[in-house]
Amino acid sequence: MTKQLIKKWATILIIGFLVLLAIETINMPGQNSVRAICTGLSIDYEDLEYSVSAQIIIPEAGGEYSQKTVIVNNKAQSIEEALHNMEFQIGKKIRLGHCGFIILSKDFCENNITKELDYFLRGNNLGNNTLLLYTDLKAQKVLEKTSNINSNEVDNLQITSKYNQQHLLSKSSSLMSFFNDYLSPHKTSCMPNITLEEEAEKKNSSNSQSGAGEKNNSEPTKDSIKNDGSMAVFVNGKCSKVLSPSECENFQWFDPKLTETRLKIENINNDKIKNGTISFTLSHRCINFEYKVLHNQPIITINYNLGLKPESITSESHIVPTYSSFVDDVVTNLVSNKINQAVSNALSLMQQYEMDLFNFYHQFNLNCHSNWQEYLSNLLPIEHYLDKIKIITNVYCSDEF
Amino acid sequence: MTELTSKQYICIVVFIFFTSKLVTMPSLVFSTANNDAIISVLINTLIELITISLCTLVIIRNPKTTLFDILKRKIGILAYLVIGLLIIFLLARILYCFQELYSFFLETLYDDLNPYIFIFSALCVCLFFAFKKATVIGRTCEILLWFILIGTVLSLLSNLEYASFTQNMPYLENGLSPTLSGCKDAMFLFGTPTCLLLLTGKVKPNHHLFKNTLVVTSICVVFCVVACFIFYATFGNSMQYVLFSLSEYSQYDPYILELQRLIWMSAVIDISKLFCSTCCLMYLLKAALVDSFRFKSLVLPLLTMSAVIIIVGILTRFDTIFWFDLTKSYLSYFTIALILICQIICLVLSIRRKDDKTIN
Repeated sequence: MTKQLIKKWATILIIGFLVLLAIETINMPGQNSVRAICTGLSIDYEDLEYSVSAQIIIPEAGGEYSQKTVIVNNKAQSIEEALHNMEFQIGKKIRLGHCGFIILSKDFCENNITKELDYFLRGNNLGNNTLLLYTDLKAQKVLEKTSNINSNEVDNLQITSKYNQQHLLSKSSSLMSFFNDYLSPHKTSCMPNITLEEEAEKKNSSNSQSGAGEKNNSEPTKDSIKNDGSMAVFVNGKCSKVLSPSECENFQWFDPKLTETRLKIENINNDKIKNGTISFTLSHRCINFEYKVLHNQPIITINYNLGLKPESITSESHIVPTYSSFVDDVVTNLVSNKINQAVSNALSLMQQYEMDLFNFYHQFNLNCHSNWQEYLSNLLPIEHYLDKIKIITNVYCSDEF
Repeated sequence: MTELTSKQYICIVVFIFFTSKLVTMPSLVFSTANNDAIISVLINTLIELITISLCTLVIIRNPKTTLFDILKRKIGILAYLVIGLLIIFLLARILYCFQELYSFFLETLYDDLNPYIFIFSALCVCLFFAFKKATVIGRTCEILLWFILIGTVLSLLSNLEYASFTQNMPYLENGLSPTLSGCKDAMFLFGTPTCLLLLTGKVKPNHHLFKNTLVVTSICVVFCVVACFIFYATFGNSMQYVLFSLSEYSQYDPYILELQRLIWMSAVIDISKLFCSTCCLMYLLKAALVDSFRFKSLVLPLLTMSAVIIIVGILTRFDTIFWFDLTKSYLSYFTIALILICQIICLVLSIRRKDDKTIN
């Protein structure tokens, strides 16, 4: 009897709860009417205030992508405050779950940005895979351009950044990897530097003759984001150097993870080619590092085993057959010299800006712990540990068809 | 008495083993042990392996008697103390699982979730399994196991390219202290197998049960350590910001944002795993109450336990920081004591005597 009574009451309680739930659900406003979906953010630092802009999607049936997004801007003493004020501006809660990227301006990156970005890692639904992008321009302007294009620019930004990662520098530029690098002993991270196509065109026109410049100005400008392969390097959380595409290419010789790279060798003079130039694709690219500290001198020996596949050949001599060997002592020497030069340039840049992009600190600590600690103990300040590093390269080349 | 088959028992062991393992555990251990976290995980999982082996031995040796009956015969009224400790541990563990589930829902699916609605719905599911026979939870675990296993492996392989397996080396750079602290702080999450003792008398053991359990648990230990190794190698020093290891790991690559399938899959896997484990724990709680206090009806004791869970859950608001602090302090010491007690009991009970007629 008691059991049946309890069962009956339990059923009534469950049904009652479900009815209450149903009433509450019916009375609730739609999610879209109380929440704004943010797909991208930009952060500028102007007049001692943070200027935060959010790209917000207004869901509506049909229409083009550009019609559905609006840019909302607010200035405040902190990012959190700016986003909070923005909610009053649009009358909705801003939710960052779908935020694909954050564009950071040059002014903002002049100080340690980790203190500000820390906000995004603490329970505000922003995914830790959010892409971080650097720009020399005003970040809000770049964000506005992403909204004007009739395509999903979030995807384009991700695709171009992925290409950089596969072919230029295999460093992820997500929010989480940025913090991982910052919390490591080397404290060096990087992110793609993006600019706008029209800005690039203006620069070209200013460099060229005035007549040509007028002609360019009369043409309609392209509203698209330009990724030229340049990267912004952050040391201790602030932007230390923007690497040009050619400088980035020098760094690729430290990067064993890159899948496919190119190499152009000029002034080749051997049996087959006279004063020629060959562009190779490095389809096979094996790089081994050896770390040691000898007499308080850290030495990195890099062994390259490269498979060279010729892509284009220009030569003063007769046409070279397609399936013939191009790699001989002359080509190997030229390749070796080119790599040596690139490595040397990259190292001097790293030493100048104290940017340990390839985590040498950790590698030395791992491979020769006691010697490395001894080396560090003699250094003042410790941040200059890259200064005495010497690099030796050994290059082995083979044909790849 | 309802009997679980050996296969179902092994499935339950797997789910009990993986409760919280690929969710909050890696981050919790890393927050204390830093680069030595993987060694702490290895040590704790090995302790778990020993506990599971001993519990299985007891279950095999006593196929027809419940834990409480054996304990009462051996240690008298102190049996109530052991069962009481196990009930307190189970309640805390269920609450921790609910906290994980609640935080998980907030991080992934819901922007705002009423804790009352959550706890009521979650408890309904768990109580359903608690009221049912052991075979129901056993069969559910059997069905879900392969789906969860395959999904977890796929998720673990998704961002392997970003893992830098040397980034946490050299290990033990600061001596053994961080490793041991990591072991101690996370012990609460590694003590769940002690509750398997409550399945004594409910499993129909076959001749290979011990061997099979040992092999499967060893595979689980390797799997857990490898998974944690991948997490630590991928997230590195930012692991302290990662609350839900597997789900956040599958989101690590910013370039697959548009390919949301994997993210959804890992979210579903995490939820299923957590729910299934919590249901197992709820069933064990029921087993402890029924076997020891001989209640005529299950409704009142289970509703009382549910009320305790609801009150504590609502009072703590399922706050992650609160539970992390509690786990690292009181609950870790409590679990260490419980594991020691259970292992001693297991050793005593699993000793084969010449006059013992209940041997399988």
